[in-house]
Formats: sequence, structure tokens, C-alpha cells
Amino acid sequence: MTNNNKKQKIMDFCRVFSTICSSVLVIFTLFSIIFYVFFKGSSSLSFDLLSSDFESQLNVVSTSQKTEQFSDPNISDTYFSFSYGISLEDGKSLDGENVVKVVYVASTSPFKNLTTSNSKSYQIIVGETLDVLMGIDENGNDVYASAKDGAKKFALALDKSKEVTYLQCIKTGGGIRGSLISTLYLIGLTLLFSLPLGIGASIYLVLYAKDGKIKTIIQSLIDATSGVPSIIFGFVGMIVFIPFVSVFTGVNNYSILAGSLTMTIILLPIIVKTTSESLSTVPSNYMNGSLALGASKTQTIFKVILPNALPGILSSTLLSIGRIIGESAALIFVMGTSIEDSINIFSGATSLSLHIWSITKSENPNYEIASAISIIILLLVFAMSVSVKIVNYRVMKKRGIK
Amino acid sequence: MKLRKKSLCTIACLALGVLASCSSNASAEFDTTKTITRYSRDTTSGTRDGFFTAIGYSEAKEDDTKIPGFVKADDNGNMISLVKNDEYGIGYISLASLADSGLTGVKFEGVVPSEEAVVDGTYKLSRNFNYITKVESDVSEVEWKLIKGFKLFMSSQEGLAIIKSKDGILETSIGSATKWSDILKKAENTDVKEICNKNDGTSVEIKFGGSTSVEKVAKALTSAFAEKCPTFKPVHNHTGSGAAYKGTQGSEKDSVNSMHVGFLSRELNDSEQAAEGSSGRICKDGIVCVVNAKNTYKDNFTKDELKKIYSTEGIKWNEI
Repeated sequence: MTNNNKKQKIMDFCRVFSTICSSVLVIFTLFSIIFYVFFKGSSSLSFDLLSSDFESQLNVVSTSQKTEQFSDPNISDTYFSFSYGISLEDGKSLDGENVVKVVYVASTSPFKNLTTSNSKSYQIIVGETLDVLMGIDENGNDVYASAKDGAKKFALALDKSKEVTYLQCIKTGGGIRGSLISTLYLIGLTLLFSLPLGIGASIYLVLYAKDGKIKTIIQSLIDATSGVPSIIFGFVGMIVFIPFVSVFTGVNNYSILAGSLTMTIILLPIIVKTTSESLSTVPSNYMNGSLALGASKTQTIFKVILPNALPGILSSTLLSIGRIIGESAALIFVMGTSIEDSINIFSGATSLSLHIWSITKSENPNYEIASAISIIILLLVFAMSVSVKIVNYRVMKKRGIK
Repeated sequence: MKLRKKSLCTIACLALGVLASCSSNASAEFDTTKTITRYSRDTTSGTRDGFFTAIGYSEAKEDDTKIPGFVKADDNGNMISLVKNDEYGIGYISLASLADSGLTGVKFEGVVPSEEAVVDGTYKLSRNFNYITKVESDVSEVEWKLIKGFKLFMSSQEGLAIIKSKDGILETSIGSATKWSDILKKAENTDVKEICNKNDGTSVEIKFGGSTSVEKVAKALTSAFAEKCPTFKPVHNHTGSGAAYKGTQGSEKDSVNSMHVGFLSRELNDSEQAAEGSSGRICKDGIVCVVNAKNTYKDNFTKDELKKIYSTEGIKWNEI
């Protein structure tokens, strides 16, 4: 008895052990990904990131030394230019490049009264960065400096220049405002196209179409297309939708419109499937009751069945939004990868996911900002799934199922 | 219940054990008996072209079978992250991105990679940054004027200062170049002057692309030129040197991948016959052979060592 029992116990232990092991592993990997993203990205996450432009704003100015010598405000870790009265420090821009930042400007500094190269007046603001300095020293020799030399050398070069002939004042970019807006455009346009089509199709398939071979074929085709990898839709979108959009714009170019048309195709199977399910779960009593009261079939469908299926449709919409936010592979083909600030539906732009792709593909990939954007995407998707849960809960409650 | 507790205890012990072994591994010495992971860029890359030419292994420029068992990096940034995560890896990147990369740049033939060494010719691992534009008949009149203006701007004093600020290596001094304002005064450039003084809020998109190594320099140049010339609206889409000729004068010049100006981090090759006057050099750049920061085994490579590493599959660190 004991021998057999022992064997059994060991076997049991092994089985339980392996299940617990795999669940711990799953939880560990998922949490470590989320932890990594939060750990890396949280420091770069700020309101500035959300609201500022990606392109930096560039002003080229020229100025010259005054006779006045300025006094150093002695801010720690900064370098002061005595003849121009500004303090500089080494910093990092939003997109992680090394920059020379202005941290203090004396009230009578020449930098308070600059002229740009197209003869407008310009005033430097604390927080702007400087790059590419070209000047002439007192002996008529050229002086050069740039951000890569660091703040100390830059301040020295400024002091050396009797006259500054070319200086780039940059309001740094690296923000994701443009991508955020284009993501919203993409979501709006895609839903505008896909919801009427998808809901219409599923109403026909569930409520009008007669059962038979053709219906079965159509339904299994829809099932099959929902499993097609999005990249296939992506290049088909490039071949079909980019020329299609160019008929209206005249330019053969990436566009948000082509992107949303492609996303529409990707989402249609999902919307048709979820809507069909919610339509068929509406109790048949409702339909029969309405018909018995003398309403026509069309009236019954649009005034009785559809409102009752609304929660299901809503959750399919939320799922679709999650899918649009997350999609990147297909959109590379149709929306391009160049990050824009002024968004127009007829020209290319990046959604948040494509923004991550773009910045991690650049010369010096910036994983901090990529992680910060990931946090935003994760939060959005999390909010979506919570709302799906809430909608489902309410439906259940309404139908009296707990 | 008991079973579950037992298993949980076992897992906790195991996890502790793994963690402990991890931390002890981290401080371990560089293991020279490990195989070298050899990373290389794809064949469209100009950096690859320059690297294999310089180490005297030109066969591998366009032929992946000459470097058996290598790992492919898509672009400069990808190469950096790959070598960063591989203690026993070796790769090559643009000198311009070495400082921010967190990798160790290895000496080549005993010379430390630096801007000065590239200019005076002692550091032999270098290549040129070039550009190629569309031909006049393929673009509109305004586009052509803007392209011409951009080309002039690249060679102006301001342009050179910008190239230098983005780690491009200049062979001539900035001071010897003409100022942008003086270039505009020349009689043959009145068309450029006219378009640059136009400021009615309209803009014309000029597309740029090609090498990813030149991207930083190119973006700095275009944004500075856009400031001089409000009509000019640059759009960048960099994929690799191979796209530059194709998108401007080659097979894809009318497709969605077309561009007005393409950049190359190598010379145009025999199959890429550029129309006269449509291409030129921007600056020089060094290529650095890089290894992981933990790798202190070698700080110098000769031509033959690099050739041996890249041509031998499964070579170990102590075999060189």
C-alpha cells in the first residue's frame, strides 16, 4: 500500500508543481514587460510630451556684443557668457539628444533683442536650446561652436565672438501631439466607414438571409478573413487605396484616409462577427411579440432588435478602437512613417504605434520616449477593456442575468 | 493544500537560486572561449559597403554567403541595440553615432577613431556621404529651384557649420566656403533668391530619403534651409542607401517610394548611372568597429583580423 501511495503522491506533486510553475512564469513575463515599460518611460512622461510638436522650431538670429560685462547669477552646473549675459547648461531634449539649454537671460542682454535672418525681432526664452554658432572674434577670425561641444565650450565661443552672424535658437520638439491627433482621426474615420458597413452586413446575414449553402460559405469566409495577418491587408491597401485616394487629391501619397480605409477592411470581419453574435442573442420572443403587434419585419429589426443588441455592438466598437490603436504593420504601407505636426487626412502621418516604430528605427533609437508612448497606449487599451467589461455587466444586469 | 504549499516553496527556492546565479554571473570576466557573434548590415547599406571595402574584403559587399552565419542588422540604430545586448558581439556603425551609443569603438590598425584621424587620413575606415537628386525634366519648375537652392545651401558656410555640428567630417574649412547671403547675390542664383524671398504661406513638399546614416545630417540641413526658404517643406523617409538612386532616377522614381533628393553613405556603383551634375559629396564619415562595453579583450583590430572574423563561421574570441 505504502509504495503505491508514495508513487501517487509524487505524481500528484509533479502535476501541481508544473501547473503552478507555468502560471508563475506567465505572470512573471507579463508583469516584467509592463514593469519595464513603466520603469523606462515614466520619467519621460509629461504633459509637455503630449502637447508639444515633434518638429523643433528653428529661428536663426544674429547679434553683436555690447561693451557691458554681465555678472554671473551663479546657477550651479551652468556656464555663463559674460559678454552676452546668458547662462547655458547641458541638457537632453524630449527625444533624448544632447542639447545646450538656456537657463538664464540677463534683462539687458543682447539676447533680449535679437533680429532673425528674415529681419523680424526675436527674444530668447528660458528653456530654448542653442545650436550651430558662427561668429567673428575681435581679430576677424571665424568662431564656430555647436551643441555637441557642450555648454562650457559654447559659452566660451560666445564670449569670443565680437559678432554672432548665425545662431540657431531652437524650441525643442520631440512631442507626440501630432501623432495623438492623427490617431484620433484614424479612429474616427475608420469607425465612420466600418460600423455602418459591418452592422448592415450582420443584420442582413443574421435576420434576412435564408439559411443555406451560400450563407454558410459567406459566414465561413468572414471567419477565415478575421484570421488573416494585417500586413496582407496593408500591402493590398497600398496597391488599392493609395491610388484610390489619389483620385481625389491628385498626389500619389500616403494618407490617413488610405490608412482608415485599410483599417476598415481589417476590422470588418471582427465587427460582423461580434454584431452577429449580439443580434442572435436577442430573445426570439421580442421579434415574435413585435410581429404579433402588427409591426413589419423591417420595423421590428430596426426598432426592437437593434436597440436590444446595442450593448453588444458597443463592445465590438470598443474592441475595434483597441485594434486601431494597436495596429502598426499594415499602416506602415499606407500612412508612411514620417512623423507630422500639422495633420491632414489627405496626407501621411503616424499613429501612436507607428510613432514608436519611427523613433526606435531612427539613428539613435530612444527607448525612453518609446516606453512613455507605450504607457499611453497601454492605458488607452486598459481603459477600453474596462469599458467593455462595464458594458457587458450592464447588459447582463438588464437581462436579469447575474 | 499541502501539495500547493510544497510546490510554492520549491519555486521560491528555485527563483532565489536563479537570482543568485544571475548576480554572480554579472561580475564574471570576459570569456574568451565564447563564439563571436558577427553582426552585419544588409546589402543596401552604405556602411556595409564602406566597411568591407576598407578591410579588404570587397567580396562580402553584396554577397551574404561570404559572411556565413552572421546576424543581420536592419539599420544603424538596430546594430547599436544588437551589440549593446550581446557581450560577445561585434559590429560596425557610423562614427557620428558612436558617442551616444554606449558601445566601445575599437582602434583600427592602431588608430583611435576620431574626426581628426579621418580628416588627416590615418584612420582608414571611412566613407563619403553623397547625395543624388532627380533630373530637371522629372520635376516641376518650383521643385527644381528648391532642389538647386538646397544643393547650394549644403555648400554654403552655414550649411557646412550645420554638417559639422551633426558630426559630419569636413575636408575643407568652414571659413573658406561662401556665405549663404553671398551665394544669393550671384547672378546665376537669382531664381533661388526669388523663391526664397517668397513668403505667401504656400509651401512645396520636397521628399528626402536614402541612407539612415545620413539622416541626422540631412534633417539638420533641411530644417535650417526651410528657415531660409519658407516655401520649402521637407519630408524625410530614410530606409537605406540603396533607395537613393532607385527613388530619384531609378526604377522607383514614379512610385510612392520616390524622392527628390536621396542620400547615400557610399559611392554610386556601376549599376547606378547618375545623370551629370545630379550627384555630389556632402562630407566624410568614419565607420567604427564596435564591441560591447563589457568586452575588454581586444582594443585594436587589424584589417586581416577583421577579415578573418567576418569570413570564418563560429570563430572564437581567443582564436584571433
